Amino acid sequence: MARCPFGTQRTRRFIPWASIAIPGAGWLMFGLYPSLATILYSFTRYSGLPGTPLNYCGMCNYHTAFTSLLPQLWSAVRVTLIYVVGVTVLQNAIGLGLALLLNRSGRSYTFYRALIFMPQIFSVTVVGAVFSLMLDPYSGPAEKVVHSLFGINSAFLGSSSLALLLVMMVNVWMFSGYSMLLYIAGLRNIPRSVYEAAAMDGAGRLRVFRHVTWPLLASATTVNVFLTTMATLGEYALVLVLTGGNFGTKTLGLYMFQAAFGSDSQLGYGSMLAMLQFVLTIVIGGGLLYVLRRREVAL
Amino acid sequence: MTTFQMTKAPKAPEAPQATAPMLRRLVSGARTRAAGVNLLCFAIAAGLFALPLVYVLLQAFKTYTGFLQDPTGTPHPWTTESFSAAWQQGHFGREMVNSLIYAAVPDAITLVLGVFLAFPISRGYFKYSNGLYTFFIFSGFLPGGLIPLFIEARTLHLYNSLIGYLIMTSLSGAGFFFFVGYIKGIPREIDEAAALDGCGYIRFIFTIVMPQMKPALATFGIFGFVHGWNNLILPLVMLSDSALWPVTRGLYSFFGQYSQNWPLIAAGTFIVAAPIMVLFILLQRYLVEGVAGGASFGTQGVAPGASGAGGAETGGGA
Amino acid sequence: MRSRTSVTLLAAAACLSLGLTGCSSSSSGGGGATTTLTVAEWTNPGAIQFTEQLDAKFEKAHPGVKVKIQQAPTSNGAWGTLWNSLLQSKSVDVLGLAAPTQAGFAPSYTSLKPAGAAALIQAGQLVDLKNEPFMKNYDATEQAAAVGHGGGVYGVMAAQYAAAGAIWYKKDLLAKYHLSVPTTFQEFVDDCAQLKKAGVTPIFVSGKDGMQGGVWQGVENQALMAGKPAADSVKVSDDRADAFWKGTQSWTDPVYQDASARYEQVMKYIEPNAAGVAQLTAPGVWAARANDYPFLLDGSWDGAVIQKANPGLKLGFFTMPGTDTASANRVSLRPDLTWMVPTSAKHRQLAMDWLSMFSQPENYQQWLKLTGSVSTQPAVQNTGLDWMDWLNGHMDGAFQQLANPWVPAGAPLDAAGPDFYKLKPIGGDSVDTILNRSATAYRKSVKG
Repeated sequence: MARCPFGTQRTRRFIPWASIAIPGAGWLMFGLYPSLATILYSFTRYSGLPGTPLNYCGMCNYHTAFTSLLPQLWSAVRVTLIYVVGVTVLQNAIGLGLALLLNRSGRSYTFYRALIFMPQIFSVTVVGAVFSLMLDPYSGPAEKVVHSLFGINSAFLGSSSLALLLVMMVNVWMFSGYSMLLYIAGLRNIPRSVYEAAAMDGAGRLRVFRHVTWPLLASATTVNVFLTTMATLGEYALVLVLTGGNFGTKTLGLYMFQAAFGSDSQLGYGSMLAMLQFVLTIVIGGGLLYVLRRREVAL
Repeated sequence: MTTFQMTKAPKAPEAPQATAPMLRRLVSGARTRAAGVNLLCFAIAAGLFALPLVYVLLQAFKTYTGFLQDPTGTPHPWTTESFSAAWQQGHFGREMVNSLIYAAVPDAITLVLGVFLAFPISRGYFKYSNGLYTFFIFSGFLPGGLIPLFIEARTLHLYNSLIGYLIMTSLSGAGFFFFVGYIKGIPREIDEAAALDGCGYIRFIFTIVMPQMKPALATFGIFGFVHGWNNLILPLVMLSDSALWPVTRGLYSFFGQYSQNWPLIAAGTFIVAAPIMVLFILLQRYLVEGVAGGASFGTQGVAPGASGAGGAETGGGA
Repeated sequence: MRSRTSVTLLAAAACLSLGLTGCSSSSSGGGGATTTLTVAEWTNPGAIQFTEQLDAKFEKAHPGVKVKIQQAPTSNGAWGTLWNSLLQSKSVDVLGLAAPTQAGFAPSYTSLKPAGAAALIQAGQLVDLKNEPFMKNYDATEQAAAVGHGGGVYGVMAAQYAAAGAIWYKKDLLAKYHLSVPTTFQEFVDDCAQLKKAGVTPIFVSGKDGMQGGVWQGVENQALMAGKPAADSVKVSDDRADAFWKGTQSWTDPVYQDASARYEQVMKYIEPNAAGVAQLTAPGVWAARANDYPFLLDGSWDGAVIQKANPGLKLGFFTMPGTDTASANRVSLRPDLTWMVPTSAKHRQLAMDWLSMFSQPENYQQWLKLTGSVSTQPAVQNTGLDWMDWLNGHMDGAFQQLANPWVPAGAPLDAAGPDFYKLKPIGGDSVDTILNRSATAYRKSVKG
């Protein structure tokens, strides 16, 4: 434990505490407490409507979720998993591809990188509006393009088979620029000399990628995969604005949000869903970190 | 989703600028080839990433009936009336001011308080500084606290109030510990020297530590601002009075209210997106290259970032 | 250097916004002389337009009072979130909610807790309006059925619409193909077949927001009410709910199988991409295409929107004949917007004054005209609109739309009836799958 050098003999013991007092208290009240209280509320039956009581009911919410509402829960978990895996894989593949393509110098490339990065600075409401119009089957251009190219009709966001994929694509559209930049950072970290050595050995482009670039990008991949997974696990705002959770797109996060803040207003049940989400995050996040670290070492 | 880039912001922006990578030499020898790659990159950037936005912007210049008759064609006649109509009917002027407050105030407070919180911990002034640090990192993985936060806000009368909203977003803890790692990189000798010179703690933080942290503060500040501006869920849950709504919340309602009138929606969408776009254009080099440089610090910077992402995301993006 | 610019920018932004905070708080504090009455309703363009007109009148009659409208669209749960949060913050004086009807109050032996407006009534959060003078303008029985509980009446049901099986049609198109408004289900299907043969897609519907469900409900309502007096609709609903509860009836019963079969027949004639069409965009798109889609499946509240999108369109309205007996094909009306006054309202007296002004026949007449609602005041008729002719001519025997069986709050969509998002052709599941799933979901949610 280091000694604080500031203040007088008498005040120096208190300065560190004074320093963290306000932010620390704020974090306890608005950061940590709500998180922990979720556990408590998950054991209650509480509608949150004014004048309605808060009843402790033990495991009632968990019981309901795993018996009568199991199909709903299972479908939400399944959608979440598909969403997470799909977005993580797609976003990383596309991000890496873009990184390889756009990691060049020159003003034009700076401009392209900025364009690709741009979508994520917009609010989900903006993105939601843009793609609701693009994908509207009677007023949007996507239908026309698909129809003239393939001669098929599609309801897009209203199609049970397509809606989830499309929401995932919009998510990827928004954030692949970010993945790209993380990969570019990784690429820039690879020393020139390694490539020169590879070139001397007469290695082809593919071989260089497989044996030089890919292994040396391991830590960038770890960061990318982990961040994408964690961020998409809780996703619901984008789904909310695009499909409202219909047509097989209701993620666990959206299920939670709608249970708690929809017209039924079931805060207890929603808290329970937030707890399940927490368990899912821990399992997936922990597992992923373990696997990614081992892979990094192995490479 | 918008939270993770904020917490994963770089430690320092001095990225190895324009190191013409070997890859390029390997990939393309000839000039024409380079031009081809350039063209391809342009096609991807413009066609896939910019086109949807341009397309929607184009719709804003149509009249309602013009749009209904020819939804996918070019506007005829061209009109800008949707912009003024959207501006009036959507109350975007008032909401713009709200958004600016919701984005700037908590952002500035978070930065200052974050440094005050991070400094003693990163210097190890407490018995369990490391333990505290680790605890925070893992607290980011705790379940999302949106529901209890909502109940708490109601009890403390922070609900549906501008000040209450600012208090909640300024103090919720997103990113406080983000600076810990960065401060560790500032040599301790400075503290000792300053203290010997009789520099007070607060003055020291403001005049010596914070200037040293400029790159981190700037990146964090910008991403924090963008995140605060874009937040939809928290205003949706915490602010019922439409006079308090930020533009995102306003657009969400506007969208449902007028979505039969696409030109109006398109105009509203662009009014809402415009300020953040201007900010982006002004700072894009810094933002984009900042992120690209940031990850070069490797996994050391990942842990706090990752925890922040989990925490802020599940915490309702507070 | 660049970092300094951004910090300066940020600081400037912070200062600016702090300054603005100062401004806004001082201005709201300074003008304390005005009282603000808050009226909240979901976004129905006609209703909003009327409310704005009435508010202007009200402000003129009550100097110093400002009326503020709070609104949100019903899509994506935005309205649910808003009214809930308005009540939480005790900042609404007049709140328009959908009438809970008697289905909201399951009998005590079910031990089901009411949700939504019914929960508010039971928790004593709404003011009993029964003895307010303006209630005399309305039909007491109707109001009691819509929003009454335990002898009190907790709102003014101000609008009711033909919702189940409601169909808009283009008069010119029907005339072109020599068709008239059908009176039996067979006629309707034949009309559709004939139109399709002529190269026209007969029906336009918003499948993204579940409007197709109206077809099924229309058939179901007419079948269950066949031969019964209109006044019995509450009893029919209750009896069915009770039978469901006891397990003697279920969603797999023949009447629902039959409704589903008819639903499938009608769905053959909808536009191919119906599932992607949002309810808010549907009327505009439909109206703009004057030469296709003779029919639009949509509630009777959208008249104004359709006329605005295509003012030249000759618009007609009828409700789908769901059975093959013309006399059984009656109109079912769904109680809709109901004004309520929360006990937490800061300006209760003003709220009553506002409702009183709303209920004055000339104002109410205007309300009907702008919303296209069927009147709930016996003395007033909705005569201002051309397309109302059919509806006004079919009010004899019109009954209150049947309520779904009782289900607990948070029960899945399935439990209260078929999930039309998943049912073919909008979704991918067959009728059998859907009905079986509904039956199971109902049983599980009441026993769980």
